[in-house]
Amino acid sequence: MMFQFENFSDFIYMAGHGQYVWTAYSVSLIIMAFIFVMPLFRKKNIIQKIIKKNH
Amino acid sequence: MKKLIKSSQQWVHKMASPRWFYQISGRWLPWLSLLTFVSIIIGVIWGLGFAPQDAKQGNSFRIIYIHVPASFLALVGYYIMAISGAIAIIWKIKLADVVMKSAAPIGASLTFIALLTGAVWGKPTWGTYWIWDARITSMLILFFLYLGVIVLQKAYSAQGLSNKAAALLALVGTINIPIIYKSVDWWYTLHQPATIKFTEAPSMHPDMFQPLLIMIIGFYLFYVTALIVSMRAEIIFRERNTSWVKELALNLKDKRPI
Repeated sequence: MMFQFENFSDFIYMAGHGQYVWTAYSVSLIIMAFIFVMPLFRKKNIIQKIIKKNH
Repeated sequence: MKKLIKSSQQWVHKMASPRWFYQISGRWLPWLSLLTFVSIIIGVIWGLGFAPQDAKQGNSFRIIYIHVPASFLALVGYYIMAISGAIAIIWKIKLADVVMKSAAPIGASLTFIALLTGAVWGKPTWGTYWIWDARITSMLILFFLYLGVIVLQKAYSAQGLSNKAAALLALVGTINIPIIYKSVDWWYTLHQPATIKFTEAPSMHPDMFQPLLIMIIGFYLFYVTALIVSMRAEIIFRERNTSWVKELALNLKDKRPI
């Protein structure tokens, strides 16, 4: 198993396909991070409200 | 015998209790999150940098490592949503209803990722972002079915009625899944046939297939983890007036002020 690119700029450029590949990966991973983090904030929010109400 | 039935019923009820689920899943979550993170990071690095490029498609082929796992989980997630919706209306199990509600936005997001990566991949490969072919159109229908379930859950002021309507739509929509799956065989299409079939060895070279397998495992783990995180928030919301949730909130307040 070898790194497929000569150097870092080759890796970014990907022989002209870089824009497509990097767009696909970055947008997908951002959406996934978002789905994961949103409920955590939601839960924190609800718990804060419960604390406030019972204070 | 009667005793056995009774104790197994009790077990099912305990398993399906939101409180019990909240407590047990809290123990699983750190490990699941870690495993998800590690497998997706390995899969991404492998797919982007170390997997060989495709002889015909070049580097745009690397999009497969997001596109295929996302599409796969979008379909699996639909079954999970529809089946739990059915369980929720037939046996009135609260936890199944929580699963259905949490599964809908995750599935919609994965379907969106599948459509988006497909479009971005289509441009350098087919010369267009979008065509109305069978696979892509049926996938778009899947996206709208997910959105429909999300909207219906909020449609009626009576929660029970909303959930029933959403579960019914989810069930009717399952017809679409085999259509998506078979669309590349039934209709003439630009979309390539399935890369992985359960009945045959993969048509891909092992150097390309191994990172794909890692990514599919990573997306599965992601799905389970995201579902659990979302379910926990929903459980806290639904049980916000119960004593155990109040106790939990006040305990958290003492431990670390949030």
